[in-house]
Amino acid sequence: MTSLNPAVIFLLAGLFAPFASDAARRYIALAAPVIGLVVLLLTDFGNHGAVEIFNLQLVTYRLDKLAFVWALIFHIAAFIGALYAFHLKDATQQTAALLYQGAAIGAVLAGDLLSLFIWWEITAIASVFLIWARKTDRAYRAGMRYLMIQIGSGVILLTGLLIYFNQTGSIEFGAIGLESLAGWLIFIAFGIKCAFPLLHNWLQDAYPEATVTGTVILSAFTTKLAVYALARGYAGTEILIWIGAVMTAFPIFFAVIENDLRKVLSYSLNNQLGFMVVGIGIGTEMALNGTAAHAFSHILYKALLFMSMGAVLYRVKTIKASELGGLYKSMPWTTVFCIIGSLSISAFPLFSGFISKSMILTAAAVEHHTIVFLVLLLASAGVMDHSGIKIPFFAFFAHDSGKRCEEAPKHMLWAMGLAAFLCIAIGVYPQALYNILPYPVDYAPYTATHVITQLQLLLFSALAFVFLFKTGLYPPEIRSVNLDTDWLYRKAAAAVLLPISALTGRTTAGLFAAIANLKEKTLGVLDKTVGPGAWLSRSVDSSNMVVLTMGSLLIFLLLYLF
Amino acid sequence: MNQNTESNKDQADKTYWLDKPGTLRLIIAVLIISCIALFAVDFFYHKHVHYEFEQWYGFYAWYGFLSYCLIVLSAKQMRKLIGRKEDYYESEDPDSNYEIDNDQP
Repeated sequence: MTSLNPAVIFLLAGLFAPFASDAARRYIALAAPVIGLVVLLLTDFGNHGAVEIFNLQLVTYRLDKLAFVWALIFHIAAFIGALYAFHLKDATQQTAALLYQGAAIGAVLAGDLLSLFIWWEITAIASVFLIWARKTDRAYRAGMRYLMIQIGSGVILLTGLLIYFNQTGSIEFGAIGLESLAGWLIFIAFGIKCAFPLLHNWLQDAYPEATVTGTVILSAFTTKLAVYALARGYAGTEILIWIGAVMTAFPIFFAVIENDLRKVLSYSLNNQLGFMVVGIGIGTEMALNGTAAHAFSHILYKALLFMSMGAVLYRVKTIKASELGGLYKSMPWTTVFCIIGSLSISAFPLFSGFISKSMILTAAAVEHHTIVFLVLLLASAGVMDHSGIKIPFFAFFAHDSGKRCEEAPKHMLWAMGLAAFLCIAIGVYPQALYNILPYPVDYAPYTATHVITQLQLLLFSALAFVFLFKTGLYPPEIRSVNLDTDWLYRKAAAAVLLPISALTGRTTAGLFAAIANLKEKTLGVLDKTVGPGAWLSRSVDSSNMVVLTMGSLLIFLLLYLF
Repeated sequence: MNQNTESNKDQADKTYWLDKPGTLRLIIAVLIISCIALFAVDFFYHKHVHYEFEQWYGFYAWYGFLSYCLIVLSAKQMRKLIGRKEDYYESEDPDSNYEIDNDQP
């Protein structure tokens, strides 16, 4: 019916927003996703917006079943984010959010690699303002590190796509695979944004430094865009199974001992991405359905958890577990919503995680990836710890910190309530989500076996928590930071490069000083000889000149005679 | 603001349901009973699973319990290796609450 790209609506809203009044801007932010969603739902599946530039076939708008899942959830996330940020009177953040969301939607709807690259870079540039809007020095530096890595990913993507175009003569964004250098470069570019192990740490470094509302918005788009890109280009690439398995496992250890609760959620986000990446690696219809479903439900419960922790930061001014506790007394609604998010991410029956994550685990079992299956089960117990128990327990319960505050503002509660409702709705009525998945779904989540085994896994994990906490074995929350790969560039590289840079600085300065010195000396000599008043420039008496001439003639004569 | 402080004081004096000593014991008791029940169920139904090991009685129960302990206890050891003081990279910004104070609705 229409072929207007919803991303355009966000971009127009974003371009208009800076000139609108504070009162109007919040409604623009709410309206953009609603209008975008209507336009999206009115569009027929297929390729739209084909353009030819310099013999390049661009398909700026491709809507198929895979892209639709992501486009839909991005619109919902944008609406929830705008509702949560309804109090903002900050043109920078609101504009950046609109451009960022629009670019992410544009990227999943891009049918060719060049369009993808352009949107890819806009997401990087627009999103960094959500970090810088915190207006602290820390946030500024974190944003810089974030931007360098995100732009780096874009540059690698561009290099890859140019080589790819050179080799294949096409820039269509379809299955790419790892058979060529170009394939690897694009894979790495996606992998950086998807926070692959060792490429992951920009996420935990930057997200906790963003604003209260910025982190909620950031959490939904960048990494899930990367998951989409991998699902599109690398479905069934076996190495992804192992990368994903490592991704589910290693962040949970960091999450257990992290004090900043928004950083705990960032590690948790990384772990959830792992499940999706495993699904892409397996690449069967069920696995890809699982990845799409999990991305959908994950965006909702992760935003919900970030919103609840954001509300705590907003009211209490800190989000350190060591400083919090007992907040259920002040923020009962936020507590309830946070627990719904925790139950969803932990995959309790009747909550969204239960019906999506299990598709990936089942797909792994069906394909006989036994070790990966066991790692995913272990990671599921880990999720129960850091997101299921640690987040709500240390913020809202544990020992009473004595901190009392107001409940979160109404619009934040509405945003959390909406996300919580969707988490439960998907859990109770999974068919609604299954109907929009890329492939026909032949999977029933609510079997006696699945419900019982899942409850066993989760409740015995909870029992382990009670056991460890009561015996004092559970690691206490202490004010600290933990080293991760960001140490390599924040300390190691700095330790090597800063002295080199200082040495270069000193050498250059020394060289300049020497030159200046030389200049001074030369000028001094010149000044003494030919400068004003020096003996060579002195105006001399003409009688002296006569004496001098006479003298030299005399010497000449004497030399001639002998 | 004054009103807030007063209502905050009221909150601090109030006793909440979780503060009552019995509540926590009740929650733990419910958890333990649920766990026992869930473990027991394994003897009474046929599991539809993919692997042989999933058929073991209470496999998911002990796998969950042991995984959880393994993760938490090894993370605790990891802290000795990678834990640093809070100001290891940079000191706390004195203006870190800027944004939060600035946009009160």
